[in-house]
Amino acid sequence: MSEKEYIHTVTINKKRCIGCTRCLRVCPTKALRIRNGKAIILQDRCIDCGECIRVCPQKAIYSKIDDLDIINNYKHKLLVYSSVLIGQFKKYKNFKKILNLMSYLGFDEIVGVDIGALIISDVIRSFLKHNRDKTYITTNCPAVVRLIQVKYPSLIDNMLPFKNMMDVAGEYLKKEYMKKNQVKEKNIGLFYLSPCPSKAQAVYQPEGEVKRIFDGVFSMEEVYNNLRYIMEKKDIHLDKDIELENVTESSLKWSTLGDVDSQFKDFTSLRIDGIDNVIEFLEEIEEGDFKEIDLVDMYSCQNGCVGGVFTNENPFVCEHRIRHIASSFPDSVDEIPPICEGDYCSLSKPLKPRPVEPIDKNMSNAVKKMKEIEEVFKKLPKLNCSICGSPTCYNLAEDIVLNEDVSIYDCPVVLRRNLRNMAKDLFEMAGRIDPIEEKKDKE
Amino acid sequence: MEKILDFKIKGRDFINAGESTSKMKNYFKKIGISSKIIKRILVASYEAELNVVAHADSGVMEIFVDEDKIVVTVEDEGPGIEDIDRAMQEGFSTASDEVREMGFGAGMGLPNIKRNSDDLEIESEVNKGTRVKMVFNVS
Repeated sequence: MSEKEYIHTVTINKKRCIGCTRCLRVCPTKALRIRNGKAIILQDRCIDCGECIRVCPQKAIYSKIDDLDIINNYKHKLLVYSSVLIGQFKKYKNFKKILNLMSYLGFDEIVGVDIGALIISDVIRSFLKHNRDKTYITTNCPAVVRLIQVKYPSLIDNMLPFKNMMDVAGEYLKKEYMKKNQVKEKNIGLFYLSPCPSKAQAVYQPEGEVKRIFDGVFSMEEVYNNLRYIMEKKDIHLDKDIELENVTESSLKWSTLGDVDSQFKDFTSLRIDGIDNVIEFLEEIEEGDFKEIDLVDMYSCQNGCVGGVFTNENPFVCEHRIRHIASSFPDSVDEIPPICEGDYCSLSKPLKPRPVEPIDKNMSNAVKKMKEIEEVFKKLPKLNCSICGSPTCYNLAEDIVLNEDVSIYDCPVVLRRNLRNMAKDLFEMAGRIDPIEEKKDKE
Repeated sequence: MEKILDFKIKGRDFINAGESTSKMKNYFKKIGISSKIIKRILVASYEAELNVVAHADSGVMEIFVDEDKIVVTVEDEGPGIEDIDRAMQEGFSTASDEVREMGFGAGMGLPNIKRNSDDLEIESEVNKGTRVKMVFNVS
């Protein structure tokens, strides 16, 4: 059903994977299986949320993204960083010192994603004023966007028709830089510093866009390591004054913590974080709207983006630091940065659903297969132990009916029951005396 | 006509009314029914289920597939509907205060069912019970 190939950054290192099933059990879309002793990803189901990366004890799952040195391929190098970065440093509670430190990375211009939050919040506010017909969902977390495309296609119209804040920040930075320095677009390399694989994936394949906005993406882990390395050098100066005119307390909090309330005071808004909570809420919205809620800001990670897979600091500590830093900024700015030359906040094309294929295109065949699945499921122990290589007993039943390589004997409980019954039969059979021998004995 | 799902409905159990909805939803998604039609089936079925919860002691909901149609029947042994035509009017409600306080019984149940289904049959006998049959074209 998908119109183009799905690009994933989440990748499995087969050499490291021991098939332990840990990832199977946390995957929210049941996109993982263990086959031939190794984890595999079902491409049409994966939403790149990175929960599997988080739990893998072997560090066998990783996100395949760019190395920092690709910036050297471009004459002008621009970076949008996830503002979560400012909460990662122990002794750098001073925002300006962190920015000074980042200036050693080799970029010509750097902005935080909070500039995108500042710009887009204004656009969303005026949209919500005229659209109070349903509960709208923000597009900030790409894992949530893809979850809706794959599992909740009926909620596509609940998504705000706007870019997420990182893309807005990217468009803004690029346009501003081109205008200020009279530079052609082809000479610019625009990069994103991501707290998670989901946003990294969105750089390679932005939903609702015709072309890529960023030229590359780096993980916060890699950049953090680089910055720590720079900090060890003797000749760095971190006291240069940097003007911060477009930073507000609320944009900083919204872009890092999903603190949506502070940005949308005139509306009823909710932040929902953690993929299980997101799923529960989407299920409920799908079954009946929450008319009293205007806006939901959803994040796949617990605590929002501070809980991203690429962050190294404890999310609660990080949140505390960011709140501390944010409180030193004004609540609002006199003038929101101009949305220059055209509307760059709206999505370039409508978001499209990408539902998992039905079990059969013909409905009566599909119903037959559902019956078969139910029959197989009845025979399974319903322990959901994942040892068979499918995440739950129901998934195994589906895999048995829909995939010829999978057998009910992959279930260790069924296998043992069958072996026991066979052994009983064997024992009974072996205990019988051969009728021919019996005759001989009598003679 | 082939039965694919069935649910028992318990009177006055508003919290668990709706559990059938998510099971139906998952089933319909798997057999490839479009999300717009799923939504209509769910809205109509939920309203019909709630009518049983609000008025009867118990009932049964059954879901069938009939070629390119989904048929949902909801049957109860409840008080019955005195005047079906009147009950079909928007805002008409016989719900008790107890039911209204819980945010239900606004008199939109049957009109909502009619609006969301392609065909609707209601048979009812006072003091005996009600049978609602909803048909949805899925092709």
